[in-house]
Amino acid sequence: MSTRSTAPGYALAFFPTLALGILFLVPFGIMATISVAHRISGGFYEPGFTLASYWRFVSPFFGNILFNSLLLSALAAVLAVAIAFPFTYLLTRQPRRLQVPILVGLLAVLSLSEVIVGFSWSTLLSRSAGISNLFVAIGLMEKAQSWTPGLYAVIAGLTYVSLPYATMVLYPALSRLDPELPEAARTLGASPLRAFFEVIVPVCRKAIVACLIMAFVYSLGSYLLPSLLGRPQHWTITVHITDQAIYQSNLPFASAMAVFLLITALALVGFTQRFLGERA
Amino acid sequence: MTSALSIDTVAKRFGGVVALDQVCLDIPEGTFTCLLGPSGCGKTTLLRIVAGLEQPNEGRIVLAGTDITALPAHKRGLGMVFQSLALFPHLSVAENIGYGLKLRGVPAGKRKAKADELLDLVRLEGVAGRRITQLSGGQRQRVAIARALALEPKLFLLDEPLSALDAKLREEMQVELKELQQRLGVTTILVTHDQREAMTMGDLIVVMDHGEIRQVGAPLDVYRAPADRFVADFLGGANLLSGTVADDGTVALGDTRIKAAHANGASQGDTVTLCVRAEDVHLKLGKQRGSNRLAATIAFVRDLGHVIEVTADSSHGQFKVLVPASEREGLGIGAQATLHLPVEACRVLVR
Repeated sequence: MSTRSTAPGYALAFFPTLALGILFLVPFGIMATISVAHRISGGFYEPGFTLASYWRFVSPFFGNILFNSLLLSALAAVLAVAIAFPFTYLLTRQPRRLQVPILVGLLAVLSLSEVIVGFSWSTLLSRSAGISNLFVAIGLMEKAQSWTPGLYAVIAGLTYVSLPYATMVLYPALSRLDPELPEAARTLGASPLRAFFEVIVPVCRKAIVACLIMAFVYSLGSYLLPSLLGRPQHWTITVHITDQAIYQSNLPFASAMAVFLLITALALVGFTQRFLGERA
Repeated sequence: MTSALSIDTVAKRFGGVVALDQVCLDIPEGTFTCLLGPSGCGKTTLLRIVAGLEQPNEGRIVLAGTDITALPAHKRGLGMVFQSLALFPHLSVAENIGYGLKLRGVPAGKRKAKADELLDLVRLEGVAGRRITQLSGGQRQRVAIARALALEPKLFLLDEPLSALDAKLREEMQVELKELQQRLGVTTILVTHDQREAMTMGDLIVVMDHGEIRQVGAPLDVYRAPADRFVADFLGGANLLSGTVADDGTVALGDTRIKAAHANGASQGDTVTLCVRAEDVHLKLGKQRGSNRLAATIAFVRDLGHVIEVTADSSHGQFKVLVPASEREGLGIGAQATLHLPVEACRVLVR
């Protein structure tokens, strides 16, 4: 609003900067320092400068893990947005008194801890008590089957936890959308589906990109769901970081992986924003 | 003239609210029709039903002899300009105009030519490659009109498209839009709540209130001969006085009797409304005797430049009187005056 930089203005900017510094930059600095420390076999490390932990990471094994983690998160993010976008669009077209309980219900999902979500999915996808029994009952399948642990179970779980966040990111943009835009497309000859894909989706492109990034980063940081719903080969890099830090007692290597993950994620987010968000 | 569009006993309810109550209307080919009424009168709902954006609960929409009631909006081939204009922000001006053509599989070269032709038609040149956000309000208006006309529609629908423009630009666009419509001869329906806009552009004015059509006619006919109290008030704010029809056929306002040229079939004893337009009332300072005259006190004087609007209190209610600017002298608050209501200017309204 005002371009004058008044004292209260500085004070207001100072507080978040300080908070960000203390809560984010300091821990990151500590982690970066540890990542170049000398590892002492048997559990600890001593200050120093070595890139050994980083070199260890540059291997087909860990490269593969990083690539798979990114792919898995991207897939979950795309799925979450693909489900959340039409859902949120239809939600915003409903009368207010219907929207509120649905939104409240959706936000209530956030109060479930990831542990509960993980075990619920693993039950839901199990052979003995899962939905495959339902498919057998209605004749879609021959025999009940177990889908967990497995890759699809991990993707389903990650998509599920990202959904409420995706809806929240999309809701403001979609509720501000001029309802006459799709109607204009209709009068020009576009079917409702075409109007959706050719007008509503491109008009909301920025919100969609923001939502993709948010869901991607969120999925990338999840470590419980991949370890609960996946086999070791589906473990994401976060699971390996935890494994190294806690079970292998190799803090320098865990830190190096974390730094690497952060840089890769930032690069990807910047790239996405540049190519999808700014083209207006 | 043949009917371009027939609206046949159309009714629409939203929940328990009646938006349109058995509306019937025939729109002749090539005319400019204005649906006029206060907000919530059902005029926009009627337009949206014609466009196929809303489904009527009852009734039929017949376009050039074909029943299109069940036809979805995207198959009706009508051009519509929306209140928000609804231009696509992710497309350029030319892409906006060519969108409908693209859907019909017209190749890019032809679309470009058509967009240029339409931009020329709405007097907007050199903006084909621009973004919608780079245009002014008036320019957006023209793009929206060009887009709606790109498919050469059988019917051109406008939903209060000028309401966002400032007064001066709005009046210019009204004249321009009317000229454009006359040049193209396209049957046009415009929704508005502005009676001046309707009078400026319409060949036919349809006055609506509470989901009903109150009067249909040429602008001057509706203005000169309003069918009821609502129309008289909504179009130009006439002086309306309640009275009863006396034994000699005059209207009795208390002990004063006013003779009216247009009795509209009222009979003795009926409670009626006497309607006199502000510009038809003659105001003279001081006391005057004679028939159809009322004593009044000036309560307010408003200089409008070309004319003076005087508010005068009589024993039968407040009058608005328009006085030529040349007769300004002596018009002061509290001055005594006589209002002469000419017989031929007085209309009796039974509703």
